Amino acid sequence: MKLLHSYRILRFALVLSAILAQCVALGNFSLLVIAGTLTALSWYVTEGPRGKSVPPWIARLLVLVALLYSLFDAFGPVDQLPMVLGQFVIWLTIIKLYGKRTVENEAQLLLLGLLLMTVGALYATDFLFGIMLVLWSGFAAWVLLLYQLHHGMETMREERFKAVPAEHSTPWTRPVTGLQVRKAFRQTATLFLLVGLLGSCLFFVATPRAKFDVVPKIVGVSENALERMSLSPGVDALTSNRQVMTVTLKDMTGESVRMQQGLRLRGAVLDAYRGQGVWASGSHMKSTIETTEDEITPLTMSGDGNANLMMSVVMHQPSTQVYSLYRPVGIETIPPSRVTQNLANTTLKLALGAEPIQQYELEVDFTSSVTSPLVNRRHRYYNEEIYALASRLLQEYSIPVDAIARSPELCERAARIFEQYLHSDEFTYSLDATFFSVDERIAMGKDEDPIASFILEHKRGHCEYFAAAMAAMCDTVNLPARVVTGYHVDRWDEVSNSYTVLQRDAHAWVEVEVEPMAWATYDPTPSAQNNVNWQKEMSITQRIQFAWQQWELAWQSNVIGFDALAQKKLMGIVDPYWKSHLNSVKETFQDLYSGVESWFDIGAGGRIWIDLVMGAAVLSGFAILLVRWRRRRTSKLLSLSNENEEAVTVASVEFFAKLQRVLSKHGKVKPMYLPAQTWIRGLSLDNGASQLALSLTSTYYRIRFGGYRPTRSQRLELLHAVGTFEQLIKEESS
Amino acid sequence: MKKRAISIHPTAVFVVLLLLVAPSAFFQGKNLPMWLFGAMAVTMAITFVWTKLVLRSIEVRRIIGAPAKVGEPYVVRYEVRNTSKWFAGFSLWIEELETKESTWSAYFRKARGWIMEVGANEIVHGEAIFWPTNRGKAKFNRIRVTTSFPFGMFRSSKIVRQEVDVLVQPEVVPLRPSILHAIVSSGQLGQRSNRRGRGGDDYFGLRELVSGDRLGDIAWKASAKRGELVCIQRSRPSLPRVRVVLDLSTPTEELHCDEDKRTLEEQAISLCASTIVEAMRQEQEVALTVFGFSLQGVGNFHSSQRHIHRLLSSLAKIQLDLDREPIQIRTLAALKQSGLVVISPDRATPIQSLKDAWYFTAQQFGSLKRENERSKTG
Repeated sequence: MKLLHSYRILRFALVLSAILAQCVALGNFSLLVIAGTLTALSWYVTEGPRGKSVPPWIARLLVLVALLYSLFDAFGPVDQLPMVLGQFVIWLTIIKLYGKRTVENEAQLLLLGLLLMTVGALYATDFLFGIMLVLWSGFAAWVLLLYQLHHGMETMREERFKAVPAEHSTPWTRPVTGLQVRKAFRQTATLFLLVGLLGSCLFFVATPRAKFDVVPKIVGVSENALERMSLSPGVDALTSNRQVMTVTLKDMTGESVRMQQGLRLRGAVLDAYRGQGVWASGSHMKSTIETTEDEITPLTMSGDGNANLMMSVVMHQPSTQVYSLYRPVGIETIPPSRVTQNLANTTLKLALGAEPIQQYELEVDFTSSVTSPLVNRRHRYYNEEIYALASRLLQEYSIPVDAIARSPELCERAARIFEQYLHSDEFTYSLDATFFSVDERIAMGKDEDPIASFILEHKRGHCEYFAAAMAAMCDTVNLPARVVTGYHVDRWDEVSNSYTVLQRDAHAWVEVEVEPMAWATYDPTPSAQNNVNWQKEMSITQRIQFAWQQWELAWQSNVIGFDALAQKKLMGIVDPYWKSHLNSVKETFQDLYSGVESWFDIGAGGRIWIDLVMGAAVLSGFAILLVRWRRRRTSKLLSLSNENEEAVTVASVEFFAKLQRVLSKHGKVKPMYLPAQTWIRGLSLDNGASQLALSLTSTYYRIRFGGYRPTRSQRLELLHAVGTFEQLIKEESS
Repeated sequence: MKKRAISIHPTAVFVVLLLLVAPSAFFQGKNLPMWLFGAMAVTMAITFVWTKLVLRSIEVRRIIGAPAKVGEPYVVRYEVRNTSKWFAGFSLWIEELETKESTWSAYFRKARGWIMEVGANEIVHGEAIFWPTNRGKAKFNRIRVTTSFPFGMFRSSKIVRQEVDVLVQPEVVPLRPSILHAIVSSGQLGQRSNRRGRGGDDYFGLRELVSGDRLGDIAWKASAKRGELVCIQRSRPSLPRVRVVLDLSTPTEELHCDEDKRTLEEQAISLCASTIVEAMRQEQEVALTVFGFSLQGVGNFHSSQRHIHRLLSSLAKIQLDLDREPIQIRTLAALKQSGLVVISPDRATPIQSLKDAWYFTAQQFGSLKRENERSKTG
């Protein structure tokens, strides 16, 4: 049977894929390798003419061991229970794979596969498992259909061999099929898959989620580092291509906007030097506001700023940090939340205890320069050698150190000199801390002032070193400066007209107070000046990784994160579409009706007349349908072909169809193969009923084969006779 | 001790899985379990709707062939027609239903037919192999078609009414050939005239022409002399004849034996059938006489396959619950022209006028059987 040739290998592939998917869900690579190898080996051992299997007692023993092992694991946190169950089912499935091949065992294997995927779905949220689950479900449906046929064939064989003793010849066990069984199976299975996919997706989308909270409790990876920057040689800068967020900029007319100098998103401002290369946020003039749904809430720190840009941010993972261009004017978070604004440096963050969010919109006044009302000057950096270096640099440009504080122009020049100095060839931009030997790194780890070491000795580091160095040099000459952490990106997606922000786009730069309360931005990192890191082309691997992350983001936000709000939005899109279509249909009918009304405008009674005509038309339509239905029913019952129908008026033989229906009500159904007269004669009826039935049958024969055509009154008489026959039958049965 | 398999219904398994997924989907609001729940629910709905839809357009008709015989598989064919224009039917199980009116379960072991696929607007023929256990007249009444395709969670069925009677002939076992050799000598016995046709070999005599005689049989010279048409009557060597007499004149309860009396009677019938088939195998003409019951058309000697079937069917129709008729003297007188085998259920009681007959009892059945071989004839 060609249709079932592929069944065994497909069944094996289904179980194998379920095991692999469960390992993916568990994120356990070693288990994946072991389980995959054991599963693949089971095919070699148990299938084919070799057909070996593990004895039942060994299988039971192994199950017991797996159970004990799982019970030992089960004493962990309650959240881990599905994972323990998943692992147990993997072992159970592998043991079963080495069992004897019987129809029952195969059914159990398929069910274990389903259980593996079900358990995986209880805790796994990643994209790879999601894809595997969807594909596996379709594949499983196909294999289950094949299993139904395989099971039927095996059961039939077994029953036949049981029915016929061994000494007789082997019974016929080939399955009975139609002419194009494979084609029919493919079509039917495809239909099931489509209906299943459509139905499950509809169920997924339409099930109310008002009470659910589906946002995964995952906090952003790098945000904890924002508030504190520690220069340490053991810590590499983040170079991951993992996507952090997508940012869309639009002007007030709704047009997409791309920034000429790239997008500089401020996250946190670090203005306090804590010693040993640690910078932290020192200004804490904070105020908290509540955001509302579907509405931009004005920020109190923004004063009289006018919004000229709308910034939409979709985070890859929920986060408590709010990144913004300078300067934010208003905010809307999805869902509504509490936002803390730092008045000292115009940065935003979710209030303590607020749930992380994944999406927010900001109104931005991009034309403003950075202003801060207050400056924290308590924790300044100072180092004699750095001061000497800074003074020397300024003196080279004839800027006295004491004069800087008095002139905004000198402030700006001084900051530019320090920036240029760090851009010079003396310094090398490097993301790799392994450049230094282990001994050097140990020594640097114990360094009391890594900034001084960087400026004076190593002269090699990433953006944080450069930003810290410039802020330190400014501090030593009493020029207020602070380190800003966030993202600097120019990765523009032409399709979605948005910026894609990766983890490696994380950056640190410097803001210097060049005038009272007015801060200018400087970027001392050389790579930012000379064809920066983020402008490099990605390799193919990175592109694949990037595309995968895009899909993962879409999966997380649209599938895993599909919540009541998303559902409401979707309904908001779909509802008007249907409503507009329904309205258009309604309007068309109204136009038609009014057109007909105007056409038949014959005065006050015109409306009633039209209603009557239309009512009559509708009733006639129903009557025609009823007649057609009765005609088809009679033709089918009496096996009248189209040619016969032309010769025999169906209405003429309606009485005989009624007679058959009366008899079938009383349990006497006419077999297809028996002629009507033979059947009637064979019925055990009372004499009166029998005579009447025979008479009606002979009339039927005369009409159908003898060319007799009863008049209307005769037809009614025949129907009346059938009524009489029904009475007789009822009396007989009572 | 034999291990008992515990059958778990697929619906139960599905419901358990649904219950496993449901709390995570609805109480924790997790979306993957939600989708999985939806997929499983849709799968159940598809199975429910599809099974109903397919069975609406399936028509089944039973096709009964030759009579059944105890100890030989009996194939009942089913014509399955799919009247749907669009949908094919898969995995259809066809079985006979046990009702108050049907009696087949007393004569056959249960059996089912299976159709893997019947395409849209197609007719296929499936079959169920029944194993007859008892002789008699089995009544089939209703056929049930069942399917649980596609996913096996729901089973829908449709019942079709079609009444048919099937005769189950008694069991035929090969007997030792020497038994009949002892009764009737082998080879051809004398000459017997052929009333009709040219089948014979030798000249036997002349007779008047009757309707149906061929022109070639007319003796033209003799006809010319006599002035009327006469035919040549020929003769052919006659086959040995054996008459099997089954003595069931004694009511069941009056039989003299310790064993199950009804079983003995059935064994006697089987022995009778086996003797008839063995006689046929040895190219003897055979006739049957049953004491206690009046059977039609079994008393004449023939050796055709059709005749054997007639005799076996007559044996199948014997209803042991009916009252027994006494043995007629006239009947006994007509039994003297051939070899005689008299079979009784309990004990051999020689009949006065049939002293030359061989007497067997049902209790000898085992010793008369040929070992390690089954009859392929009959």
